[in-house]
Amino acid sequence: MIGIATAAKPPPLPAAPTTPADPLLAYYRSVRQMNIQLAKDRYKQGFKVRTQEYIRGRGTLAIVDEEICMGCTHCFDNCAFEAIGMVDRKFALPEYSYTSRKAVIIDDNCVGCEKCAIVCPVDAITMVTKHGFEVKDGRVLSTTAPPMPPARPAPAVAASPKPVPTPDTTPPEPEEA
Amino acid sequence: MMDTEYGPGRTIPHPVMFRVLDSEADDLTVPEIKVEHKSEFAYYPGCVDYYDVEMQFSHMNYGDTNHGIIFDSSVKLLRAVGIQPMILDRSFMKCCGHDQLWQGKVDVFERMRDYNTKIIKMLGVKTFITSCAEGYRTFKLDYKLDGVRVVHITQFLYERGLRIPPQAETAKKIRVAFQDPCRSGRQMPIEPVFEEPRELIKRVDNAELVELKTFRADAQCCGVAQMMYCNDKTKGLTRKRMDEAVDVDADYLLTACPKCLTHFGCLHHENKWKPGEERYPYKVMDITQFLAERLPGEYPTGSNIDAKRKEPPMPGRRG
Repeated sequence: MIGIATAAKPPPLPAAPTTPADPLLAYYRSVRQMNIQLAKDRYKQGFKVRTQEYIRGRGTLAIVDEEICMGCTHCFDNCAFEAIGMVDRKFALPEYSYTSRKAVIIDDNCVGCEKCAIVCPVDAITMVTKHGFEVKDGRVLSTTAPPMPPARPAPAVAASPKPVPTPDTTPPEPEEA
Repeated sequence: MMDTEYGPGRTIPHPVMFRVLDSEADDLTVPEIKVEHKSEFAYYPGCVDYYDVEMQFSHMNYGDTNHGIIFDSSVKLLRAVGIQPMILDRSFMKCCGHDQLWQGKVDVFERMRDYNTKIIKMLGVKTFITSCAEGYRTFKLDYKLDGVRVVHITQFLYERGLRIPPQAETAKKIRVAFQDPCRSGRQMPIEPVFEEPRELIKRVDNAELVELKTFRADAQCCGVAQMMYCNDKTKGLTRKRMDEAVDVDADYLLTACPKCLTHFGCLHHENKWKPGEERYPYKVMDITQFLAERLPGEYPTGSNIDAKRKEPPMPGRRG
């Protein structure tokens, strides 16, 4: 809307749009939307890099002490990786039973960023090292060797025309538990 | 928790933001530039969208500041003074390199500077308008843009004579405080932006300009420099600055720097969620948004609203 009279009149525009500024507004809007999408896409890449960095280098995992946890959901709200869920635990006493809400860590998603431990008001969350990592001089280090470059299984399979017969190529997974 | 030299402190580093902005300097090939509405007046919005995503990604509270609204408001204001600016958007421009320069990554800054200078010269920009205080300083002092005039948007609106129409008679009197950004204020040896935003605020007829305890060249920082990190100490500075606005009984706290808006908005958001003990009973917004809301026409929106989220989430307990 260029309906505002200006005190110091600028020089007339070379090509003023005949229609009242709607295509121009649409143009600015489109630029705006394109920029938002660009920022989000670029951020997504950085997010992945950061996640990988944590998974490889951090090597810690959050655990919840359920006796202390009071179910305030601060960690649930603040987790950037959706690694925390809230569950209702039932407690049965001789006199009565009750339900209490507790936080649980979803281990697959936890990258050890320690954010939940920071926000926890009662310090119910502590960080432990994952399997294969140890704390040395205050730093979390991997005890295993760095991963080898992926070997090439294809020639080996081709060289052995009679592979060892496996009973079942797709073992039933639910029976394992 | 992290052990700082002052004792344990909570820190929120911004590694993703650094990485994203630094990685812009890796690829210096010029993409295909599609600019409609070529003009010698160019508007550069800066990193506003990146702040929005950063606030949603790595902050303990998400904040309810909307930096994208600076873009919309600036375009509305520029069109109100008769300019149809060319948008130097981030699909072909890079970050100005302010953070990289002040963090010591001079080589990254120089690559960004050379690239941006090339693009600006290529497009034939005569007047370079920015709404970011840090961008203003960087483009004016640290770039060598000969023949291009770099102005902050408040300077440009002032010299073009932006006129705010009289507000409705039912509009109540408001008290407005202005935070001087460091980079465009006391750290600008030439043409500091002190007078223009105050003059623009005075043109709103129901607004009364009040000065904070420290102002102009003495103005205190908002707390965090260049998104380095946020911890208890910097939050204390932010809180001190926002308490000054409480002392003068302000209804609005305005700033001209998107990063000040980030940090003020973060703390403001935390305190808003304590019912009954609201510490900061005023609004925090950018000066462009404040002025654009006073103009007739469409109300500016940042258009960066998450559709799934109906209300801002609860912040962390202490932040």
